[in-house]
Amino acid sequence: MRRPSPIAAAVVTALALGACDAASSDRGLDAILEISGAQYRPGPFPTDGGGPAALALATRHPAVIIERVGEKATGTLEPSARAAVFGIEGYDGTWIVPAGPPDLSAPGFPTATAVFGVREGIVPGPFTLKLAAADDLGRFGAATSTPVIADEEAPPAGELVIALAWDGAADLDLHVVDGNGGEVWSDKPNSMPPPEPGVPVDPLAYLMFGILDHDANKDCRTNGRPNEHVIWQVPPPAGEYVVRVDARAMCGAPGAAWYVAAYRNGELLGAARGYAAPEDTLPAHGASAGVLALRFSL
Amino acid sequence: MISLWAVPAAAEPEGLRPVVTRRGWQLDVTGYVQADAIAYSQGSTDEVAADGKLLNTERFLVRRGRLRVDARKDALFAALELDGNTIDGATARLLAGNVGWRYRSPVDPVLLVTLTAGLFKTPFGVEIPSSERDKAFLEPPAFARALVPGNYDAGVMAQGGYGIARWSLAVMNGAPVGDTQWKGKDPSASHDVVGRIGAEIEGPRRLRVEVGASALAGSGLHPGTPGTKDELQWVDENQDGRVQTTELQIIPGATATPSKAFDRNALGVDVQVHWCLCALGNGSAFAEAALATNLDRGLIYADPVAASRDYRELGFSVGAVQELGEHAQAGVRYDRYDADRDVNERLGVAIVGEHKVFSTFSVMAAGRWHDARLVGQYDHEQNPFGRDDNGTPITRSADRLSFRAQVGF
Repeated sequence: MRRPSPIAAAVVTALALGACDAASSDRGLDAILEISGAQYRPGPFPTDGGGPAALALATRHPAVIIERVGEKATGTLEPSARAAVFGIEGYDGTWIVPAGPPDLSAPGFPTATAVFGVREGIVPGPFTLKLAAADDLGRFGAATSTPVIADEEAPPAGELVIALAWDGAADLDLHVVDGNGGEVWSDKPNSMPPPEPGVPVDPLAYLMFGILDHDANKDCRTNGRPNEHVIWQVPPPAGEYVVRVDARAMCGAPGAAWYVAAYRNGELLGAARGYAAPEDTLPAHGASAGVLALRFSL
Repeated sequence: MISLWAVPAAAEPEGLRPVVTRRGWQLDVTGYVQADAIAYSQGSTDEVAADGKLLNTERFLVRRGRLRVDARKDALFAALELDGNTIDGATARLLAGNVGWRYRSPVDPVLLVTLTAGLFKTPFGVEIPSSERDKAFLEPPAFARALVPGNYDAGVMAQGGYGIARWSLAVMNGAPVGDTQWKGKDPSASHDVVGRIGAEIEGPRRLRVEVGASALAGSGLHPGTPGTKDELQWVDENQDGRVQTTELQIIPGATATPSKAFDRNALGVDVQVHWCLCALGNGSAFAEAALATNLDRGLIYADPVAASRDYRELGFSVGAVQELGEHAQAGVRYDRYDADRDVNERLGVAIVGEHKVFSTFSVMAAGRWHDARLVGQYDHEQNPFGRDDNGTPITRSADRLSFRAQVGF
């Protein structure tokens, strides 16, 4: 049998060595999640392999603006953690960051910190940011997660903000029933109850109730990426809140993917996704119209 | 001229060439062009980095285009070398320019003393002062690129030989042309003293052994900072794109800080063994190592003032090159460079020792015809730029397959 030349053997050996034991040279520029200064790790989010668990994860804001990097995420890890990976549920590609020193609020527990952003390509609306920790052998443990909203623009400020956003030309309406039973939607953009006959009306009283900021895509007149908000600038009344989405007209669109999010003083109360089809425009469009999106109590 | 430096394994004997004589000076014009093709690079991507640097490295380029003029008149000499390349776009620069005086014993041709002043190669070790024209491998090992980036520096040098002994001693700016911080400009009045002492021993059957030890001592400069005024910083906390007073933060001004000098030094050893196998041709094996403190100016810049501790560096390379007949050559080389032997990193609650290691295993094959060479080289590279699952630095894949066509004249 003919023996391979030493040079050929060396080249083959070098090529084989080059294929293993190295971090990816992919810079993750095509990934949905972007974390500056971190190592990109192609492939799916790691599964639990018996390593240290990630205990908690939080972001500074409940919503991030798509294509803007600057949102800070902070996690707490089990003591044996040496590194952590951040990822988004449903999307391949994660980012490795070294574990940081413990925080004063949790002595002895390493932290994981990342300044992140999401790129265009993510489906706007709620997504799940995930965090997993790894030990000195690179074994990952149980992951933790936190819900975050990917928005085209930041939600407006307010004591209580309920947001609806969708894509396309369809005319959707946000309906919100507040704790007093008053309903806000495009035909009644304020939840203030009608005054009793003969009772003088304070001209600023409407500011004490939920207000719809605008009626997007009204009469099929499109205005960019449509969204609507019902905002309380004062503490909202206690009670149960019901959020519905009514498809008033499809305006030629085959459908519309929408999402709803509710924020209380900047904290995310809840979020939901849905899809409006042409048959959803058939029912009546008055009070109590639409499909249920969210229900919560204050 | 007797070469005082390492004779590369593949160097061909200098043939007779026409010489122009002008006003009593002999002018000798030489040069070479190295046209490279990076056929495969693991780290290449069709993207632009945040600093505007192109991340594509699979391309054609002129790695070196050198034109050199040597002038001699009696014991006086002068040399001027220009370099052009397209590494970062088309560039032309002065690479070397020096004048000198040479004494050669009329009875002992090895007894030689040369004095040189100007811009020349730093006489540390073998790899750094060797000519890129004659090197078997495409690029220098990592420790040479880190400790004396660009190879050339300005200063004065004395060098000579007597019997088997070879020596050189130079006083230099300490700011090599490839210094990533100072770009070849000397930031301080102090100078680096650098030198090498070695021996060339001829053995039987054309066996030749070269050994040497080098040393460098000098100082670097940590740059001070100018004073700053108060600044106003806006952080869009609520992401509404509008400025609120609660989102404004004052960054107080700071007084200027003075620059501060620090010591740096290096010690190197080298050995080469040259042989001739009748059936194949000449060959050589070589090893070189350098131990340094605060000297890295090319890869992981050593600034002990900023780090509040010394940087200790260690690098070496070993390899062998063998001619395979009259027109072919092959070689292997392994080099390893630890840019910071004392670095620690906090990973969670643990303090973990790390090493900023660069290493390359290179396999080279070349075909030669007169002054033309075609070289193919595969480099398997290790570097500290990636991050492993356990948080420790790991290689970011950077293997390369390169080809070089070189013609000298």
